[in-house]
Amino acid sequence: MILDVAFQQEQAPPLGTEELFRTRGATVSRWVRALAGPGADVEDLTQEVFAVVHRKLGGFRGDSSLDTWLFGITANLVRRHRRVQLLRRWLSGSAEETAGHLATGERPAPEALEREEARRRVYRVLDQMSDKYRGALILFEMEGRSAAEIAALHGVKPSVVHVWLHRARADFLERLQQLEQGVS
Amino acid sequence: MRATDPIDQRWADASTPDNALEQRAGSLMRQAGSSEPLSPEQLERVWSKLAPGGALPPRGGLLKRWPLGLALVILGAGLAASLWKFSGTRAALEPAPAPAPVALAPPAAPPLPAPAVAAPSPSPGQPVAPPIPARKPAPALAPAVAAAPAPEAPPATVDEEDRLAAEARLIARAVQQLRQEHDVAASLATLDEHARQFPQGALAREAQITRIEALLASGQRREALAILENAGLEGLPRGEELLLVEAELLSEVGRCPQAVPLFAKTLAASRGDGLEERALYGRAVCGAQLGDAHGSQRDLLDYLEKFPDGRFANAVRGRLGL
Repeated sequence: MILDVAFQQEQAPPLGTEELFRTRGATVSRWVRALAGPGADVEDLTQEVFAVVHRKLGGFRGDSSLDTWLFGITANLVRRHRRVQLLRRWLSGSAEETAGHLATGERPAPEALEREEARRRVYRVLDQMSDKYRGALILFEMEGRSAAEIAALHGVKPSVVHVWLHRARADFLERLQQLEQGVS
Repeated sequence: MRATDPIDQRWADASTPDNALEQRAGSLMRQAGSSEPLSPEQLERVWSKLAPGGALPPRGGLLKRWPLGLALVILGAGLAASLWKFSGTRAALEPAPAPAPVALAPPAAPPLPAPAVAAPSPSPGQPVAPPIPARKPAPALAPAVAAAPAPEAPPATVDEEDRLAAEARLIARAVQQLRQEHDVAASLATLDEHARQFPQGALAREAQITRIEALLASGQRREALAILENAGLEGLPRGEELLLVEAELLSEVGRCPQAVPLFAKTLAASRGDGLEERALYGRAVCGAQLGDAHGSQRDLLDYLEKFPDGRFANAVRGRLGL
């Protein structure tokens, strides 16, 4: 698995919002897409992440690594976004239903449709899990991160991530089984 | 395997999965694949929105976009269960058989261009509903935004995180009062309280949709129309139906020139459903009022062809002399 450039680089002090955006924007957008799941407006959320980065950059003292700091902002923002979306669905109807009819332009290729269907199914299970386990499983199983990398992003020891992954896997499998058997 | 044993193999890579379920998980993960980052073009677009013209403001002057909401997970299960149990959001916004006191239903009578609607005017002391805020754009780093007279957003705190949960509780209560307890006045009062406490709330749009529903349920159609006319309906949940309701209310108060384009928008996105049925009839009635006899007749015939047993079928036959 090819690691993001941001991971391979020495954590240098940030120079400014624009420099951060240029060097980490792609990585952050990838985190956003992975954590937010299908249907999220990745551009919009990435923009929000860097708006927060810009606001908080002056307070970054390097107590954690830059990627840990960026990932924390991204994960918090996506978590908030998911909860607002969830609440909106409860209050006003499913966003998927609302947006489902919108014209999508060209028809995706069959393999893309298959991939989308698999992603929807995976996220349907993931979205029932706790944020911590959900995020760890996404990074490990889908994004190909090692436990050590996930630990670095969260600022915890790898052994902690191992525990998370064990529990997350068990939780995922149980929920997947329920979904496949039509229980959930 | 002990709980702390290192996990070194992903499901998707496992050549000999422990069981069929892990095999299935691996298959799904493989199919789902990893997430792609934004393309350079997309990133450039994001940057141009963040810093239009390349200008970045001094740090610390941005409006915070969302209140935080960690408490929502706890709130969520009960709220969702109660909402879906007693009503179901879809049903609440779809045309319902009369009497349907809480639905955003079309006018009980065909939307004839009535000269007046017997809707009570707001009393002097009645709280005025704030307009539906447009969907908030993601924040830019532009100086104009930075110059907004807003205090610097503090770091996320538990208090701040609780705000979204508090908002949600208020709106959920309003929905409950409206749909379950059928107490429109109480629901509106709760929504007023929400507007007072959270004038820039993250759920302000959802609150306004509930308000429209409540106003219609209580016969305050002009008030509902006033909110709808100030709302940017794009992207709102049930935006299409709200657009049609706006058209019907406009037609009802004799404002067909404004109503016809909205009916047309609904029809442009039509799927042979109840919305199309209502929009076709509404436009036909408005067309007749505006002197477009040909267009009106075309819509009436179209209606009969598509909805021969529809709710307005008899009225349509009458208008066509059939």
